[in-house]
Amino acid sequence: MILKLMKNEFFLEKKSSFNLLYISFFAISCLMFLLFSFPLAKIYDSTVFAGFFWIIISLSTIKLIENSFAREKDYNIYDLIYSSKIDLNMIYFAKIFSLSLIMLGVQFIIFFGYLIFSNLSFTIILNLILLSLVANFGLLSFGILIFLLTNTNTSKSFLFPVIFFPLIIPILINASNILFGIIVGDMSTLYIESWLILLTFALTGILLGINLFERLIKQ
Amino acid sequence: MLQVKNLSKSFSSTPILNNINFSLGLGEICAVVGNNGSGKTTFLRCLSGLMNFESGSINFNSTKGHLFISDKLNIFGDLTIEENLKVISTYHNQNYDKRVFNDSLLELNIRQFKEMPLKLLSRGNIQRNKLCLAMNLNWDYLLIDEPFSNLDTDGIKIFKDIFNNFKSKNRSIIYSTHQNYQELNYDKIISIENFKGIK
Repeated sequence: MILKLMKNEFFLEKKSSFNLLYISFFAISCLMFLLFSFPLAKIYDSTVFAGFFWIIISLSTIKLIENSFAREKDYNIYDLIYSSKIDLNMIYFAKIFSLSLIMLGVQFIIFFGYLIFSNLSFTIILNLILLSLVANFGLLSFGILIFLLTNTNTSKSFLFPVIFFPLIIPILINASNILFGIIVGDMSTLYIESWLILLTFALTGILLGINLFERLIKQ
Repeated sequence: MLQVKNLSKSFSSTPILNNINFSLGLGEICAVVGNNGSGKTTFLRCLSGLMNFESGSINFNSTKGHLFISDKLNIFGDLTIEENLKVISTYHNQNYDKRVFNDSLLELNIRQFKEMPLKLLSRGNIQRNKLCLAMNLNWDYLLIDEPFSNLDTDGIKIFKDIFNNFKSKNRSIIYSTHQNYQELNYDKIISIENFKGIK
């Protein structure tokens, strides 16, 4: 069932005007902004890149969540979907899984150049994919809940990022730390602790979602 | 049978629905009438489970459950009617029959729009497409908000015929309207007066 719902999400992504390309374009625009705002020597600094990479991903997450719900809200499909007999947690999980994979695509596009020129080993690429998925789960599970929480407010487009950003700062800091560790190969500085914090956020987000998603939809 | 007991709903301190009691058997059509803002949509949203209420109970004793179609667009505008049906039927954990789908397009006189994204259609034709979704999904109770708005006289006649067809198949419909309901078909009528409940 969850696979069918995920297929739906991808189908809607493909068909609607808000798709992977749009989000990737947005992410690349942010990357361009980074290129012009730093001296060239600084961009090659892995700390700067790792930090900016996750800020770009968090901005893209906001757009992705807004777009995913916007197409349901704009055409008021909300009522027809959420009054169905289907377990709403299934919809929540389908959304998280499919949006995580889309975000993984965006992350891959940003990393593409880096992967070509840096001759990365298979283990490093595998670690990067794992890191992206765990961080995406945390970002998306909290993002969806905060979006629904602020959804009924008239200033939701302002409120959503304002509440979302302070909450995900631990995810951004620890994901940057792990990314830096993977790229440079230095896994001494709180590497394991950062993984544990990311996993905690991902699990907490999912548990909160299981308990709150239905309540927030039916508010 | 649908049973509603002592249903009450208020927004802030303003009561909208006040101690509503009613029941509806399978194969019956119920019209919910009232002025603008009287609480017709709130009533249907409470029945659909989309809106929480303060007190009372709603019990659908049916095997196939219910389907709620609101007065809003209720479709994915970028998709065609068949793509919409494909997506929505997944959410309702159902499959649709291609032959029934084609028959419903003919019956609703919207076959010519089959390949068009629904956002390009007029409100009246979107209304017909929404009923097409209902014709292709399984349910025992159809909750439909303002089904006759934006329809021409031909459309109203088609909708009335389809409602009668549903009734003959032992399926129930609860629809809201602020139009001249005497001309419409119904077995039961619920009149919601502003802030007072059922008359």
